[in-house]
Formats: sequence, structure tokens, C-alpha cells
Amino acid sequence: MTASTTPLGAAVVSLLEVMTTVDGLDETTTIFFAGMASAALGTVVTWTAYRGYARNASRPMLFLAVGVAFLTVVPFVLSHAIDWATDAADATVLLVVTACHLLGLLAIVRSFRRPDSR
Amino acid sequence: MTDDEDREVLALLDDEYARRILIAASEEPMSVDRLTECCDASPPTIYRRIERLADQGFLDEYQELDPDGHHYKTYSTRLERVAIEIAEGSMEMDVYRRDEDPADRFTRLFEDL
Repeated sequence: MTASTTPLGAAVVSLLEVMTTVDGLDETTTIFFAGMASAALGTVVTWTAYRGYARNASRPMLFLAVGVAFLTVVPFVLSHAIDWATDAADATVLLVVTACHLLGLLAIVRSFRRPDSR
Repeated sequence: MTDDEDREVLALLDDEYARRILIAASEEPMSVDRLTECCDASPPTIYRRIERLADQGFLDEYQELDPDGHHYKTYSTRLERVAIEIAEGSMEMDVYRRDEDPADRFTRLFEDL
């Protein structure tokens, strides 16, 4: 299921189109709002996975929650925090974001491990 | 709801063991072994009731994996409320079932991967 086949996904896509074409917002603003949308959706998935861990004592769900957080929420927050607080180069921000993605994927790979296949 | 279904719901609720299973499994998912202990009944009795309860959608079924690779099932109660209304020469029965928590469904799906 791709994002645009769901009503929410379609809404996000058309919102981005409207923002870039009709209102003539620049790319930086569009990227910010798109990033915020994925961070928000990432928060929902992270929170659901975390509750799954808490309610079912399921370690895979804890790793999944950490993984999704590091793929969606953490890079968004960190990159904008670095941008705002320091005068670091774009390459530095990109490095941090890539490192977050790597950590997130490692956590998700780790979440595939089941208690019975230890 | 047809008369047959109404009758089955009422018969189930009239059954001592079916009620004990629903009550015991409403706190947390229970295996047949634990239900056998809690309800003070033989495993065949429990299995028969579980089958009837699951047919009515009164129980959720989970597949569990033991560390030694042994599969077993646990059950949790979905039935929340049964309302019977008698008015103007007829009887209406409404059954309310609990929706599974999205976090639990997500966990179940992910663990079954």
C-alpha cells in the first residue's frame, strides 16, 4: 500500500502540490512541512509500537519503536535543531541524518530476532 | 440477528463454564492450560466452550510461540456487553464486542512475521 492510495496519503500529496504550485512556497518550506508530516506519522507508529511493547512485553516491538523513531522523528528534530543552533555545514546535517537512518535500520533488523531463535 | 443466534448467545451465557472463561480471559490472554485451572474444568470441556465462544466472536485468539518452538494459543475476551430490550411485544438483543487495541494488533501482526 503506497501513501497515495490512502485518503491521508492522497491528502498529504495534494497538499504538497498545492503548496508548491498555487501558493508558490519555496522548496525549503515544502521540505519542512513534508518532513513534519512524516515526523508526525512516525510519532504515531512509534507510539503504537511502544504501547505494543509495554502491553505485551514484546521486545521486538521495542526495537521496532526505536527503529521507526530513528528513521522518522529523530532525524527531523535533530537536523532542524542543528540548523537552528549551530552554523554547521549541510554535509554535517546530512551525516547526522544518515547516521540516524543507519541506527534506525539496525534497530529494525534487530527487531526481526525472535525469542525462540536466540 | 436471527433467533438461532439469539438462542446460542443466551445458551452460552447460561453456561457456567462459558461464563467463567469469559471472566477469566477478560483480564489477560489465557492459554487452555490456565483456563482449565482457573475454571476448574477438564480440557475437553474448556475446548468445547472456547469453540462456541469463538464462533460468536466473544473471544480473540492469539498464536503463541514457546522458546522450545512449541505452538499454543491464548484467548482473550472480546465480549463487552449484551443488551436485551423488551418492548411492544418483541425482544431485541444487542451484543457489544470490544475492538482489539491497535497496539495489540500491531504487535500480533509483527510477531507473526
